[in-house]
Amino acid sequence: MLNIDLTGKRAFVAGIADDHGYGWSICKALAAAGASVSVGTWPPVLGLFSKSLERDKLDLELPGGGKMKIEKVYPLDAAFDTPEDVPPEIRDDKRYKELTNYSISEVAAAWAAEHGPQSVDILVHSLANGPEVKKPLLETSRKGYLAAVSASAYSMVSLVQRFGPLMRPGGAVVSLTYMASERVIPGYGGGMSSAKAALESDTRVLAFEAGRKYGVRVNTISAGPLASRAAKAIGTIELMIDYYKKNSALPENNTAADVGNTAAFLCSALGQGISGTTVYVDKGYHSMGMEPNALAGAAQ
Amino acid sequence: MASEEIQKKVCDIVCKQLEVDAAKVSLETKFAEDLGADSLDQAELVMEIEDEFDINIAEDAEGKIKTVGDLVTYIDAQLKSK
Repeated sequence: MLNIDLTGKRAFVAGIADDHGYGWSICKALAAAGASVSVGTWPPVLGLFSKSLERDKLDLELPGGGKMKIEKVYPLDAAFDTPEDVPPEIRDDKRYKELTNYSISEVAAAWAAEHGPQSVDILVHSLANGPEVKKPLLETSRKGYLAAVSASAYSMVSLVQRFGPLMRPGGAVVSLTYMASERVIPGYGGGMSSAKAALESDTRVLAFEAGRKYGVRVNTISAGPLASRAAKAIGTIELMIDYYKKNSALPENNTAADVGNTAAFLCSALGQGISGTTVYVDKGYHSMGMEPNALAGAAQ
Repeated sequence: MASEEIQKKVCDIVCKQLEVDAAKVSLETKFAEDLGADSLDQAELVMEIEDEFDINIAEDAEGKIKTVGDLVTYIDAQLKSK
């Protein structure tokens, strides 16, 4: 039987804050396939996440039985590459001041100190932030736009720069993107559509560069809408989910498990021919060109 | 648990979690407007309250709890229905 087997593989999943989103589902799928999973968590939500984990409030049940174990939770703010990049107002913020070593280079250094060289097989980028996401592009400030691209796209480049040298040949990098990069999605503003376009382009270039340099593959998953905590912050997610269900090739809701399983496949030996690609996991929504019922009222 | 006791415990948690002085907290105090609690503060508060009283605060109730008094009333009702 063909099997997704990640036994003995070590994964770092950047951008985990709760058990609602695609990132969590990727962790679970990787763990279910046998990988050891560590996560990087944004400092402002680290306390909440760690407490939920300690108090056993997170959904750790694996499909097929057993419970996921998170090996380690690293504080990670992917907007900063080095400690020198952290401005004083962030460093002294009440949610940061007790923490150190949360820039990308420091997390990579901590990882290397603990696990040694050549110790990452799977790197997942599951993070984004657009401070002005609710504003249309026409009203987005330069600062908001650049912040979105920095936190949501450059963070991926930086992660691969720092973790690439720690990756074993045959390893894989996966990120999460959204079709707003190439089609207009009203309401996905603040430069987030631009950031996703950059992320998808960078996926192709990194697939080549990191492929040649480290022997790893780089892909991104373009997922349909899910009512995660982050998506709820945008406000209209329930309407989006209904709209997708009505208008996709398959009239079904997207599930977190669909995305988790696809990520596990892409990171496994079964996906070893796939690199530089945007993989749609959206029930076929992206290929539609017209609402299925648009002509339903027309005379035969 | 008497309502006064709930109130006392809630005030203690609110003061500790939001780093405010007890003198600033009454039943009428609004979490967001008066204490500057953002959504993260509120999520942390919900977790502490759930832990302290061993109850579950439903996600749709979270939006309706605006004041310390609302929270005390909600906890009281939850404890009574146990």
